[in-house]
Amino acid sequence: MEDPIYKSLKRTNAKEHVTPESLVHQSKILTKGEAEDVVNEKLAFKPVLLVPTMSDGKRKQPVDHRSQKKKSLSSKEKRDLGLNRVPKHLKYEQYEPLYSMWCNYLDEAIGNSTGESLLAKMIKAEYHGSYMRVIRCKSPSRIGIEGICVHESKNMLSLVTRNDTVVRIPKTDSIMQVIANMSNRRLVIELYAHHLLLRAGDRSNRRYKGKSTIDL
Amino acid sequence: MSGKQQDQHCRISYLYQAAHYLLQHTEEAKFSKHYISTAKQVSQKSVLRLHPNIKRTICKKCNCLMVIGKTCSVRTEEPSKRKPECDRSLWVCNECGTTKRFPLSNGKKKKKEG
Repeated sequence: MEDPIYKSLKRTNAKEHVTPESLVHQSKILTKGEAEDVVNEKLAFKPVLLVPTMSDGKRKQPVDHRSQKKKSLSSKEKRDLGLNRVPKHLKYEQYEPLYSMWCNYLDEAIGNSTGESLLAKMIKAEYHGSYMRVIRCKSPSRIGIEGICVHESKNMLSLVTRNDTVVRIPKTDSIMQVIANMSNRRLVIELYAHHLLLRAGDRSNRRYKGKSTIDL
Repeated sequence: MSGKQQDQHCRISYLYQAAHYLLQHTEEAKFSKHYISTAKQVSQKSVLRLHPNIKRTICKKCNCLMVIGKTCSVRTEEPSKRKPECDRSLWVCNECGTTKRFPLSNGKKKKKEG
């Protein structure tokens, strides 16, 4: 009785020879002469593997992504290295040439533009090395502080004052004045820092929507 | 120089020069890392490419300027004695320990198709 689902495989008799006729019979492509050649060259007197070999019996090990080295620093490593910590005392004289470099950069970047194009360029400009003064602020103790900006982060600005101290000023609720001594002119620009709560690099391509400000 | 992106070009070059200046003349080498990571952010956002000569002087991991003697050390590597064209120079960043390898030879001459 034949099972409709299970069919046993054909049993081949090991004593059966592979004759040219059987090859011709099975594959209809080879001619008798070709079949003879195949038998003599490839099959006769040679061991034929019936079971595929496994390499050392091991499987390929899956790639371990955790052990692969990462190219950039993780935030924990950055914290340990102390990259975002600004020291409390810095010499003002060492940073004065940085300010003159910044004025030259502003000359190149802005040149002779005035009005709206000037404002658009100032938003995208670089403030590392600029001379800033706090004009209006929520806490009155910070008003009047001025210095060279050394570090800009998402929420804070670090200035080096003439007394060789570093003051950290939060951007929220403060209005700064940026002073530039360029070759043709002297620019004084008021920055509403609480609308620029971004890292320095992220500010370069951002488009701003109109936002209402509360008078401090 | 593209007219639209000229200010971003200026910004990146200013940041690179400022990082060099601060590394030489100030005690704090930390700021050069911050300035160069800012420059990289600017180039990412405004889709500007840094010149490969500039990228070779920056550590890939910690964004530190590679100044021989101050922030990095250089030595040569000879992986095989038979092939002198495989010799390379190895730059090791002092702060984070990442390595960069540059070949010392100009590479094998290509065979001309004749």
